[in-house]
Amino acid sequence: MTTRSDWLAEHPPAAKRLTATLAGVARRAREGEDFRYAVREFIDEFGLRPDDRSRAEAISDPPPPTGDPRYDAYLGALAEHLAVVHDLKRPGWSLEPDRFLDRFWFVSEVPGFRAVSIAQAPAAFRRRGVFIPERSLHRV
Amino acid sequence: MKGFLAGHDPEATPVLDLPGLRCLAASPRALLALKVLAHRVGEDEGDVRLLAAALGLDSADQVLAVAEETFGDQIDAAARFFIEEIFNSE
Repeated sequence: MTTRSDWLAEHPPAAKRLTATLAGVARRAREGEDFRYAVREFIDEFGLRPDDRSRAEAISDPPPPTGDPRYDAYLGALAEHLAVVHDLKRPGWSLEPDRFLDRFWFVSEVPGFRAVSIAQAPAAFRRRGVFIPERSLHRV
Repeated sequence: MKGFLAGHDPEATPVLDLPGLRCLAASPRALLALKVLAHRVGEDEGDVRLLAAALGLDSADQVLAVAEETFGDQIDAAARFFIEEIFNSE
């Protein structure tokens, strides 16, 4: 079965059409859009970026504060995680103090998922106090 | 999720029907089955609750039965745990 993801991999959009950035996710959240929806769209598009230069552009600009410290930390974690996975330079902004939480945040509100979230969260998320399994970041 | 589309969806709704182009919206049952298959913690809980409510389903067994109609033994232990915990937490 050919999936949409397969088709897009074989027919990637023009580089100039890939404009989603982590800074853009923060701006969308600050303007009232659903944070998770904006993150999903970012991850979808990030997967289409053809090379390291393009991938670095998507995470390099510092996202403005969203108004929610959890989201600010999440974006720092996602930047570091993507940098590690793709062997890119970790953006300096992702290490600033406001990218780390003082209290743990379990992204799922279901108590039964806390153990799996601790065990399976990528290191970049765990060290910022954000707990979500790595596979939950996958898009298909 | 679109990467898992399982084929014919008899309850799909036409949303666009032009000469040479027909677009269908997946049914709530098909979407629920896909969400169970994906079972991403921190991502899919809200959609499972929404779709289950739309279908009048109020137990994990009912939701898993819908998913198994479409995906059979692809619904693994992790997916079962995901659905059971969502309903246990309510």
